[in-house]
Parts: sequence; structure tokens; C-alpha cells
Amino acid sequence: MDNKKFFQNGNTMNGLVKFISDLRACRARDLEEKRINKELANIRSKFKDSSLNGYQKKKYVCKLLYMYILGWEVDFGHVEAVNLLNSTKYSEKQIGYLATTLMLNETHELARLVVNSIHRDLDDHNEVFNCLALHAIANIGGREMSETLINDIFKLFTGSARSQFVKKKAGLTLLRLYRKFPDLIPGSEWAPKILPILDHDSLIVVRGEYPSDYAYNKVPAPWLVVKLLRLLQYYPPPQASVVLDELLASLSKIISNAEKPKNPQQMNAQNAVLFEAVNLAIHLDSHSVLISQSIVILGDFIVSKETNLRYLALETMAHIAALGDPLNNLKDYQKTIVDSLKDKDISVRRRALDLLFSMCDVNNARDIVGELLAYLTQADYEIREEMVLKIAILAEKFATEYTWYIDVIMRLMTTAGDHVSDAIWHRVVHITTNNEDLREYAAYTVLQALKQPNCQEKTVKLGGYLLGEFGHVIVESPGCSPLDQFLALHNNFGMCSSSCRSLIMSTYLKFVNLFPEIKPQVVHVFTSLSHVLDMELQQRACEYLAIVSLPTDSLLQAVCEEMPHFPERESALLMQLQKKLQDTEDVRTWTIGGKDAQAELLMRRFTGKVAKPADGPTPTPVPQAKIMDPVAVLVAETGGSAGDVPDLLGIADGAPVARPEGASQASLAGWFAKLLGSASGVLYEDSVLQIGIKTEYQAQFGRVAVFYGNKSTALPLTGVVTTLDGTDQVRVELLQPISSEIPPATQLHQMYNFECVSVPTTELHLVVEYTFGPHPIRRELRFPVVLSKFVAPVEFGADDFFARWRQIGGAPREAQKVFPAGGVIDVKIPRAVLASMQLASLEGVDPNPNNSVGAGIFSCTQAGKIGILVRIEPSLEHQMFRVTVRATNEAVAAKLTARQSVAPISKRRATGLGRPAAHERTNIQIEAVITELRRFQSSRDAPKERIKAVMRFGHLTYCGGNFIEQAMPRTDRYLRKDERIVDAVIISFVNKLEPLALRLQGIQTLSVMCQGGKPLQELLHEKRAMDILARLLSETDTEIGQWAAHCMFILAVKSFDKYMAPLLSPRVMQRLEVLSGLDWSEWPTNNAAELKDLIKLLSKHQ
Amino acid sequence: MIDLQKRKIRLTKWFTSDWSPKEKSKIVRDVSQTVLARKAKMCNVLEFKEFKVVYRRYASLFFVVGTDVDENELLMLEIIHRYVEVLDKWFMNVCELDIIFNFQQAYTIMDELLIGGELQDTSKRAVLNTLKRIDETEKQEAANQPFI
Repeated sequence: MDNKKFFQNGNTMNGLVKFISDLRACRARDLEEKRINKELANIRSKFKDSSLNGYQKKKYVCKLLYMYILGWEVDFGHVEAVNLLNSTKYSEKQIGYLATTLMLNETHELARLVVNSIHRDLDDHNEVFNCLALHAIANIGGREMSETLINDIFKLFTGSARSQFVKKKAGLTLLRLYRKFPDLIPGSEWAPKILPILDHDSLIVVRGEYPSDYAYNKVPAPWLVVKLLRLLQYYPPPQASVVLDELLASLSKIISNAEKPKNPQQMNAQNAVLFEAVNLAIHLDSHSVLISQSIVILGDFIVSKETNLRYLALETMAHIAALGDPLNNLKDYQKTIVDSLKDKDISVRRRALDLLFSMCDVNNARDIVGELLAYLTQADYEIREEMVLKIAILAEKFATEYTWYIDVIMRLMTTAGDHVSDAIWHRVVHITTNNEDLREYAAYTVLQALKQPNCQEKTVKLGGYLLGEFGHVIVESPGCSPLDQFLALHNNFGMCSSSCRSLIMSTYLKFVNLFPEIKPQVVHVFTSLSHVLDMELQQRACEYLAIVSLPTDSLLQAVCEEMPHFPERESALLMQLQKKLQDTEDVRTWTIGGKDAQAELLMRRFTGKVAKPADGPTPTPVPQAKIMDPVAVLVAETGGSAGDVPDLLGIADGAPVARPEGASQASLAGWFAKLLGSASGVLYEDSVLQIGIKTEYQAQFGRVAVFYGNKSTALPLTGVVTTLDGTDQVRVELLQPISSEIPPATQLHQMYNFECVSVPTTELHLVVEYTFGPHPIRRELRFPVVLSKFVAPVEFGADDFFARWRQIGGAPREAQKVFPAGGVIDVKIPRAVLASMQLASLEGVDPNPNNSVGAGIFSCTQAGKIGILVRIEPSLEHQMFRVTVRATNEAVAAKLTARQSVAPISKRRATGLGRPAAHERTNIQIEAVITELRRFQSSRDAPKERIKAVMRFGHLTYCGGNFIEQAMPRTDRYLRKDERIVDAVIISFVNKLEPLALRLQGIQTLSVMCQGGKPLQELLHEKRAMDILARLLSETDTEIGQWAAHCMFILAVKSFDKYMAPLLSPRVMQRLEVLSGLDWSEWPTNNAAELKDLIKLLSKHQ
Repeated sequence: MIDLQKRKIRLTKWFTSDWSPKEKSKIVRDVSQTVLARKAKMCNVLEFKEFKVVYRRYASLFFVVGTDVDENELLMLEIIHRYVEVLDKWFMNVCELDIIFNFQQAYTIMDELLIGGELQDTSKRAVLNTLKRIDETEKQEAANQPFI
């Protein structure tokens, strides 16, 4: 038959041939493009002409198709193609179908239009048309098309109207649709109708006679045989020994067929059957002799010249290794397999790697891992990551000694650092944390690795973590002192990425906790980092700096508490590997990896999902903090945000119903503190339960809604009992109780009413009891119904405020508290404190802008309304705040201040302590005065200290002279402070029993003060300084007398009017008379005489 | 899917219907690059993403098949060969030009060989018989067709 001739003459479209020739003649792409564009324009114009006949349409669609196949974009002509489907001529219809299947996919909008045409062709009596329709369905059948047509296809398949070859196509089309939309085929309903077809005579039995047509290069129907062999692998091995023996016998025949055909096709087909037979043999009985036989054959294949054979032999061996026990036979080939790692074909190398991975066990693990490590250095980049992952898994799985495991991982990290995924070092952390024996070795080894030059970043991360947690274990070893550890890390710090640096900073923080001796170095690092541009690093630096600068270590210790053991769970590495082996259409009968991996696969096949311990809850959110990176803990506790905290070791995987871990104390305190200041928020949260509250207060009455959320999506919380008992001071009334069961992923709520009867002194506690899975759980939570909740803010002006302030007066209706600022004095803190007390923050009331004052009214049923005034003063020098509360009721004042026991930590980013602004300098001087004052008061038994203190008062008053004067007119706050200074000074010399030196110093300081400005003068007047001094005139010690006269003279000059009475007393005149006769040679003037003259002069004048 | 090669795609066939043209052309590009980069002696199977690619070279043409990982590779190779055999028989000593100028025929042949990615019949003759039958139909049509 001369098909060629036929095509050329009869049915070939000359225009198309010409076009194709033209394109072939185009040497350059732009010429081709030109020709294409010309043709596109031509076709476009032709299509506009509606009088085109079928042949022309066919020709143009063909041209478009050709362009499309060449890779050019064709965005029109689809409609014409679809039109061709309706043609009654086969040649036109065929082109229509070709265009449809090539250019449309199932989501294309025209796909819907072709359904009708296809349907018609399915029903057509022309079998050739049926075939075209079936081809198209098998190719582009989307859901809609399949739903419409599947019944027709099934009729074609099972009916008797059509000949064999159409039925065959219909069957295969059904298979294709079944794979794509299994739900469309009612399996149980159709199966009985399909089964009889199996008996049809067109299926020739494999063994025995077969028509010569079905031999493919002398191999009988290889495709069918392979399908059958595969099919048998899906069934469990037959129980009846007769059947089994027969099967094994036929397999044996295939396997032992030692014929070595020269014809490559025959060889391929024969081996295809052979490999499938081996797979089935393994499935039937992995211990049988057949396997040993197969291994020998495969062993030959591994060294075969045929790359395909090497490849497939290794793969099949991996199958044997995965399921079979006779590893010993395989081990004979271990050397060869290792050599295959160096095969020139990467596909073969991959298979060798898989095989080695599968055949590894406790006995040969060291060899194999050693070989893999050795090969790793020269392995292709493409497979390195996979190798690294596999080595890590093998090392963990078959380690008999942990030290070996650590050594392997360290070598991995140094040789292939870039390819080591985070999961690998996370796993090391996991294992090290859970095995105490391992910690010393791991920490030591990683420290040595850190000291090497060119350390890999992953090593640094691992080192950072391990040393931070277990650095103290090795501190006794030589070269492992805290400083060594710190330096080893810090030398790598500069080279690391931001995430690594963050981790190292956490390590440093832990170092401060573990080794206080290197705190200065760490603080230095933190300080320098608190100015870096990287937000994350800067935030950490500032927060860590704040933690280490706290007066007590309690927070540091809480934050750096040793990590608890990780819950045992599936290795993240294995999961990572499995991800690569996701199920495809035809179910895989085996998988790479040892027997565990097979079990996993089985589970997956039967349950349709990854094996999970039974009734495990769906992945729960991170069970609070503790198992995370310490940084995360910190973040959770301080409420800061550290960006993306790495999810260490894939925390969110499923686990058996774990007892939900309670939230940490720190979180509890944090939530509680937040609720004190806001009307709604979280009271408690762990992996299962979340409790939130919403509140509303009006005078002494409050209403609170408590929301209980079950976060588990699988299990309910049962037996829920909540108790909230009132006290004498706060009455509690339950408005709306809660049901005893909270279904999964549901939130229920209850309502309470509160009434404040008298000043609340004790706290309320909410007790929640419930059962989760098998675990009964009880949580007792502080309930944020406190005094301040019943306070309403009040606004005052400055005059009003201080009038009331004085009116209330000092103790007992005043209470004070000093708390550390926690870092930097921040104006937001006092505001926050005031807000947490529900007071109005009064702006511009306090003369000193640094101070904050607030006012409010507390209501309760018994005592009525109680006014509250609060003043918060910052101390820059000591980084402290002093809170003074004055209230018309003592208990309220005391209670309110007591509450401020926990220092609110500055959460905002610190701006750093640069040079203080000008207006702050005054404050610094004031602070210095206060320090001196404290020194003076606290050193009662150390006169020298007191002398110094008093002297410094003088210096301060003198040097900084103006500051007090500037400050004083504005505020009585400083007056009160200075009052105490003046008191201190006066006390220092009034008492005759004090040492003379102190007394002299004291009176000298007073003389400086006497020269002060008006406010100080007033103060001295108030303190009756003149009277005191007058008395000193009669001291036996003349020097004191002289100083007293000196002071009196200055005072008299400054404000004679005020001191008329004492100065005019005759006794003073008498004493001055005496004193003026003393030796004043060392003084600039004779103050006694001058004062005498002054008094005389002024009194006359008066 | 099957590509023929001379730095140019000659023919592609997809048995998946849900890929967008963009995805398809990307895969074609990637696979052909990978395959072309391989040396003659290397094995005919390689893993490509979550698929397996089996390819074979005939003269200047590469025939490439992408399949699921658990297909029998050797048989895939033989499917390629069977296709080439049928092409050869049909076109009488096939060459690249036959496939270029009669691409619609090449597609028809493939449709007769494979449906939904599965081989229809082991027998070469069965396929050729069907093709002949199709041809007859066309011939008749051509005979009835008025001259243009």
C-alpha cells in the first residue's frame, strides 16, 4: 500500500505543505516570526468570511495547529476548530478533534461547547467517529464533560453493539476517568457488569499458547504480563498453598530465564517482565529462594554495561532491601553498590544512594555512613541535600553510641554545611536535650568545631544553642571556660546571618545566667548591638539588656530556665523525606527506606493519610512556649514580637492526646497584668483551652463575661466546672452558668455580676476544672476584679489637685512605693500605671513636666465614694519610679500602692541613654542631692560619711546654686526635698554631741545655703534658722559662734524684715558684742561686728 | 507527552487535561533541556520533579515520555519503540519530514496506540488495521469530494 503517495496526492492540503516548507526555509527566528505573523493575519481575515467551506476551515486550522506545535501563541481559531467537530467528513472531523485536544484543556470555556458534538459522535454508528470521541474524552475530559458522558461510555464498553477495538478504547477511557474522578463511577454497581468482559476470549492466557501477533520481539505480551504482575502485588499473598506454589513456579520460570537476547527490544521487554516478577516475588514471600536467585541476577546487572539495567537493578534491590530480610545476600554486593555511587550517570548514583539507605542496618551502618560521608565531598550538588538528609537519618537510627552520632553530624556540617537543612541541627538539639549523657560530648564537640576557622553557619547555630543550654556541663574541661565559649561564638558572630545572630544573642543571655562572670562582655555586646540597624537584633539587644540590668535575676532565671525534654515524636527528617514520596495515581507497592518506611506506607494506603497514633487530635497550635526557642518564650512573656520565631522541630505535628501543658507563670502574670489595664483580653491560654473576659464597670457594680474556648478540633472538654467565689468585700453573682461540655472548636461563655461592698483586700480566684481526653485538669487563675476596677477617673485643675493633696496630708492616708523603671525612664510607664489604676492622667497639673499625677474616685457600697490622688515621680539616676498615693481612706491608699509591686517592664524599644537633654540636667543634679541625702541618713554611725555628705550638700548648693533656685519657685516638690536637706544640715550641727568637724561642716554648708535665693530664704525662715543660729552664738566653741554670726549676717542682709524679732533680742546683741571681740583675722570681715552695726542701723531705721 | 527534537518541538501530546498552557510549555522547556544535556551512554530514565522521564533517541529525534514514578520504565521505553515501529510501517521508512508534514497522521497513530496514556494493544497489526480502516474512510471521502 502506498500511503505516502495517497497522502501527497489525495488528501494533503497544498497550502499547508507550502506553509510548512516556507517555515522550514526560514533560517532565523525573526524570519519565521514574520512568516507566522503574515499567515496569522491571513487566516484571521479568512475566518471573518463566513462562506468558508469545510476544506478551507480544515486547512487554516491545520496551519494554526502547526504554529501552535512550534510553540507560537495562537489565540484564535478555537471556534472554527470546534465547528469542524460537527462536520460529517472524517478528515475534517479529525482535524477538529486534534485541534480540540491540543488547544483546549478541561477548564477552557469552549470545552463545554464540544460536549454535545462529542456526545453525538459517541452515539454515531460509525465506529471511527466513536473512537475520535473517546480519544478526546480520554484527553481533555474535565468533570463536567465526564459527568455528562460517562454513562454513554459505559454503554459502549459493556454493550454488544460495537466491535472489540471500540470497546477496548471505551474501557481505557473509563479507566482514565476513574483515576481522575473516582467518585463518578459507581464501582459496586458497575463492577459485576465489567467482570464478565474479563472472560472474553480476547484475553489470551499468559502461559500457554498465544497468537504470534502478541509477541513483542519474542516476548509474549509484555505489557499485559506486567500489568497482571502488578495487579497481583495489590492483593495480599494467596493463602492457598496450591495457588501460591503455582504463582511462584511461574515467577521462577520468568526469573530463571537466563536467555541473554542480543536484540535490545527483546532484552528490554524481557527485563521489564523480570523486574516486575521480582517485585511480585518480594511481595509474595521475601524469604523465598527466588529472592536469592534474583539478587544474583541483579548483582550481575549492577555491573552491566547497560546503564538502564544498572539503574533498574539498583532500584529493585532497594525494593528487596526495603521489604526482605535476607540482607546478607545483598551485603555481598555492598562494595559494588558503593562503587555505583561513582557511576557516571546521576540517575544511577541516586538509585545507589537510595539502595544504601534502604539496606543500612545496625551492623553495616558505620561502613555505609562512612562511605556516604566520604563520597559527600565529591557528590553532585543536586543530590547533596538528599544525601545529607539520609546520612543524618541513618546516623540517628542506627547509632549504637551517641558519640558516633554527634561525630557524624559534625562531619556532615563541616563538609556540606550549605546543604544541611535546619531540620537536621534541630534534630540534634532535640536528641541532645532528651539524652543527658550526650550533652557533655555534644557541647564539647561543637565547641571544638566552633573554634575551627571558616565555621559553617549551621554549626554556629547548633553551637549557639547547645552551649547556651549545656555550656555549663563542660566548663571544667580545658579550653572550655565560659570566656572560651563566649569567644568561640563571638568570633563567628560577624560572619553570620541575622537569624543566626539573633540566636547567638539568646545564647549570650543564657550565658549571663549560667556564667555571671562574663556578664560585662555580654553587656558590652548587647550595648553595642542596641544601635544596629537590624530591627530584630536591636530589639533583642535592648530587651536582653533590660533583663540583665534588672536589680534581681529572677526574670533572667525564669527566662533562661533549662529547656524541658522534647516530647517524643516522629523525626522531622523522616517527614521531610516522606514529603518527597507522595502518592501518585497508581499506588506504589513499596517505598525507599527500611521496614519502618514500609509500615508507614501501608498505613497510608489503608487510611489514606499519614500514620498517626490513633485518635490523635488534629495538629494543635504550639503548646505554650516552653518547647520553643528560648527567644519565643521571652517573646511570649514580654508580649514583644520577635518576628518569625523558627518553628523548631516541626512542633505542629500530631501527637497522642497529650496532657495540655499549663501556661507558664510568667504568661499568666502577663495576661493578668494586661487585664488590669484593659476591659477585655485573654485570661488564660494553653494548647487546649482559651479563656477570655470582657468587662464593664459602673461605680461599685461590674459585669463580666467569661469566654471559654476549646481549641482542640477533635475532642470536647467534658465535665467543665467553674467556680468563682466572692469575698466579704466583693460580692459575686453568677448570672448565666456554663454547660458542662464544650464541643471541639467551640466557644461558650458565662456572665457574672460583681458588687464592691468595701475596699477589696483579697483577690478573687477563678477555678476551672475539666477533662480533656483521659486527663482531668484543674486550673486556678487570679481573676482581675480588683480595687482599681471600681475606680472612676476624675479631672482636676492644678490648684484643685494640690489643695486636695495637702488636705489629705501624709501618712496614714498616704502610701508610697518605689519601683524600678526597668531600663529607661519612659513617660509612657507612669501613664500606664495611672491607667491601670483607672485614674485620669492630669496633664499640666504638676509643675514638673516629668511628673505625672492622676485622680479618681473609688466607689463601694459601704464606704461610699473615696477620692484618690496619685503622683508618680521618676528618678533618672536610679532608674526608679516613686508612686505616692493619697486617698481619703487609708486602706485604699495602701492597697493601691501594694499593687504596684511588679515593675512594668519597658516594652518599647529603648532609645539608648545618650547625653541627657538640657532640661534633664537639672533633674540629674536633683537626683544627686537625693543620693547625698540618703547617704547622710543611712550612715548614722559613720561621721566621716556624714561629713562628706554635708560637705557635698554645700558643694551642690553652691556649684549648682541656681538649679535649686530655678526649680524651687515652681514646685513645692523640691521644697520638700530641700526641706529634708536643710533639716539634715541643721541636725548635723545643732547637736552639741556631734563631732566638731561635722558640726563645722554643717554650719559651713548652711552658710552657703543662706546665700541662696528667695525660696531657700523662705525655707530657712520656716525652719527658724535664725533662732537656731542665735542659740549657737553662745556656744563655748568660738569657731561655731563665729560661723553662726556669719550666717546670721548673710540672712539679715538678705531679709532683715523676717528676722527682726530674734535679731533685736538683747541676748543676741550681747553675744555679738562678745564675738566681735574675738580674733576675726582669718575672716574677710568681722561678721559679728558688722551684724551688730547692721542691726543697730536697721532697727533705727525701722 | 512526546517531543521530537532538533532544538524544536515537533509534536506534543498530553494525557493530563488540567494543566494550563503555561505550565505545559514550562515543563516542555525544562524537560527538553534536561534531556538534551544528557550524554549518549547515560540511562534512559531520569527523575524529574515528581515524575519520571523516559526518553529514547532515534537519529536526530528524541522521543520523551513523562510518567508516574512507578511505571515500568523499560516498558515505557518499549512503548516509544512501538510507536516508532508503527510510524515506520505507516510512512514506509519514516523520517522527520514525514512527521513534520503529516503531523495530523502522527497524532492519529498515537491515538490508536495509546489512550489516556495506556497502551491499547500489544499487537502491532491490530493498530495498523485500525489505521487502515480510518484511511479507507478518508479515501472514500476524498473520492466523493468535488475537485477544488
